Amino acid sequence: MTTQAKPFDVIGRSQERQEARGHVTGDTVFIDDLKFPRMAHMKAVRSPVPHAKVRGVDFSEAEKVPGYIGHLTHEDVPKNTYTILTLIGVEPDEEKVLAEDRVRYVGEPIAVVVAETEQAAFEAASKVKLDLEELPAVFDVEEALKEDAPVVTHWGTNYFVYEGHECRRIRYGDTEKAKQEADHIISGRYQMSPIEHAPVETTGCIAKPEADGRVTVYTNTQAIFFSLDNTAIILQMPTNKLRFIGGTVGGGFGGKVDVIVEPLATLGALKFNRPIRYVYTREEEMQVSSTRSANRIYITDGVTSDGRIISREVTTYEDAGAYSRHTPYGVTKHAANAAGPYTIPNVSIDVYCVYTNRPPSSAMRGFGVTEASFAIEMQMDRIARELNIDPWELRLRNAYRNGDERPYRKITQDATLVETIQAAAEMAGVELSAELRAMSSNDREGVN
Amino acid sequence: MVADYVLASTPEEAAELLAADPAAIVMGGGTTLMPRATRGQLNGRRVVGLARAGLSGIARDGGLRIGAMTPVREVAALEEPAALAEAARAVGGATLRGQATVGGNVLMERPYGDLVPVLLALDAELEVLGSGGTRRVPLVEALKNDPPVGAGEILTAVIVPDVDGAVSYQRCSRLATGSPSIVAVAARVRREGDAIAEARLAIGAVEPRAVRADAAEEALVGTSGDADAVNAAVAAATGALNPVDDVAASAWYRGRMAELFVRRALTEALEGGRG
Amino acid sequence: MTPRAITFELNGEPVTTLAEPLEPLQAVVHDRLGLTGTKAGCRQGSCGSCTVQVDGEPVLSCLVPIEHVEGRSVRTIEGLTPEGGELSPLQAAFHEGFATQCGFCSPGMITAASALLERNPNPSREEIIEALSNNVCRCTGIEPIIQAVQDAAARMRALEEAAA
Repeated sequence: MTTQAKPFDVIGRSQERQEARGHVTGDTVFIDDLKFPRMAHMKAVRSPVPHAKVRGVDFSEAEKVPGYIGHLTHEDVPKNTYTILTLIGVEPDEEKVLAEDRVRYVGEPIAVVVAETEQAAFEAASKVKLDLEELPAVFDVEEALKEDAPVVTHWGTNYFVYEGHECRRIRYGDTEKAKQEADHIISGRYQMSPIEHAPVETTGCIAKPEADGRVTVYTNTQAIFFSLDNTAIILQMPTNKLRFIGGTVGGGFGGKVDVIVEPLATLGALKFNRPIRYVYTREEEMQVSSTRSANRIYITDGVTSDGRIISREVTTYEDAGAYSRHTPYGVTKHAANAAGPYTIPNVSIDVYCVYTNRPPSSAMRGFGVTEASFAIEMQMDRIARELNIDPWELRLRNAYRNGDERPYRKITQDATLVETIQAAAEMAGVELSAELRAMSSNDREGVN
Repeated sequence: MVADYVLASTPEEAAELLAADPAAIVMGGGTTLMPRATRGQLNGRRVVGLARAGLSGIARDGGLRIGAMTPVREVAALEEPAALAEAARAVGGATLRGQATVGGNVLMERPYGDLVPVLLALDAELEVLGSGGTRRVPLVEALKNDPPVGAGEILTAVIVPDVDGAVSYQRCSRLATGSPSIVAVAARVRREGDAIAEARLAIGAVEPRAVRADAAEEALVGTSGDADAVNAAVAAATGALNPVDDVAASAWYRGRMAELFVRRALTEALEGGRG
Repeated sequence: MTPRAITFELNGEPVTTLAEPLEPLQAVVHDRLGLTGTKAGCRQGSCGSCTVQVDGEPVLSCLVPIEHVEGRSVRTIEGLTPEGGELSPLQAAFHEGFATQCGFCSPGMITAASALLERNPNPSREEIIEALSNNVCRCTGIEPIIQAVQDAAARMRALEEAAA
């Protein structure tokens, strides 16, 4: 018996987003919309200077603020190591949940205070006295790599070590030889600023102790399982004692993956036996929370007069800020993409993960790769201008094709760059020559 | 939180309350004070509010009398002086302009104060109420003090005289709206025949408060406003500036833009300004 | 620091609440009165997610002391949502036009846009951008929001004509 196929009611039709109705009526519940009886408020005490030894922390004035409940320092944290990369096997674990003897960026948390009201918590945090011995600080990636630069890390160098090297490296062909054969050497220096995600909802959570000894954590993290695991490790408690509830994120963009507030809020919930609300202010979100790393990218290309790029050297300094977070991983992604979607026979790439006394950078929308795209496409336009070649043509001639080997020795499959550029030209009303319009990802017609 | 919030029913009452409690703070529109209160920075202090003291409104009598509590939005809707309305439209965004007051804008330091360069170019005065009664002081004089209005005094109105010559207003910012000024310049000239009899050049957002470029103004007086005179004025104006670094722009960029925008404002003022 | 009783009209109904001196309208509405649609994104007047209407005018409620609305009429997103499960034309336009992604800025946007359409049923693109100049959206790139307001304006004009 043949069954009559029913018409699709999902595929091929526009679907109503389940959650959007609540967004437009104001019914969607975000972290700050939750309230629990006896809920207390947590605020961080942060370093006002970029680099210092922490000699002492004095809570005596803070304790006098009406509504003060208590505080947490590193001594209260069972495993005071911020472990975000351990879970994916990348070391070192160098960042503390709460600073011990050193602070390395303006805003680094040294303690947290808890109070009955948020205003009392603000006041108490402002009255904690810090005894700091300031140290010289470094803010520039190339300065940080000099011999005499202040040392940011605890292991003594201002760079992350990649398998014994001081940078992530890709070597393909012989760029020195190719540069000599090139007709033109074209160089550029490309500098990005750190970019803040600035979600309209700030980072935050509420940790609520339950009667059965577990803690329920309501959080706006983008990485709920990550956050649960990290909290369990930092608090040295079994994961089955934690219940994380979330998924409603008022803008993340990679800025809510750093598991920043949950461990301390959970610790506070257990210590003070109160629901603890720990929500970033707009100032903390802007100045303390992680950003996209500011990359300084040097590109030197050897180019023939007819616009073939035969050599590309890229040296990038990624500013990790004071601690690793996701940057060592971002550097690897950057290295893989730093030559661009172009087939270049000789490539040399060095990408440094550099530590400076700036707020740590971390994940943000395609981190590592987006920065490479920016620099490469600026460089392609520079080449086009200097050689007086049409920028569309330059890209089409150098675009990678199926079967081409990438600098990291994978064979290109499913390339569609040529077709994408052709489609873009059509949409932009740019007339390409017949030769360029005939190009394809599947052959090397018109390439060399 | 604050100890209490008293809404004075007259400016005299506000002045008395402030005089009686040296730790008390006066609040106009609240756009800069409320964030401080929310962050626990005003805990335990008394706040004296002007929202019901009858200080809002614009009256035209020759010149303009703008009550200190007038929302910036009302100035933005004026037709004359056009440059003042234009400067008002540069303040914040549409919603905020209904809450920010003229008085607050005049008294606050960078990044606020977008009305000030135009007011300086128009020879505006401040009407101030203190324990000794009401006094008038030219804005340019008041700005030499920090704060411009003394402790226990209330700014009640900004007086804009009816002056000759249209003001040219030029502003540099990253975004068209809702973005702090990097440089804001207002220029006005009055001629007698072909010669410049009087010149006003006010530069805002470059230093903590807007300044009159005295040397540049003197360099213009008596000239015909030709290219040489303009060059001399631009050089005198920018040479006297100490641009600041902030999140909106570096000191270097401010300095470069100051030169460009002073030149534009002067050129436009010499051609008749905008009103 | 004695809380005072404050009375005002909220979404068409009289309400009396206790409030601390200088307590922001946003906190009163959101924390004391449980209308959580009015958000605190910055508490310094720079994001607009706290936008409500006071006597029909849009205001940044994180900057409004509660004392200032005594005896006045306040309308929040909840008061702009029709009873019975329907969406208003503006809400429907946002929903169908994907002008809401994370949703955090949406109540503020809709409240500001609603005030605009009340006084200007046929706003130009520039007028919409101006009216929303104190509302930040980090998700949509704002274009779908501008479209949704234009869309809603057209729907509302059509409803007016049909009713006439």
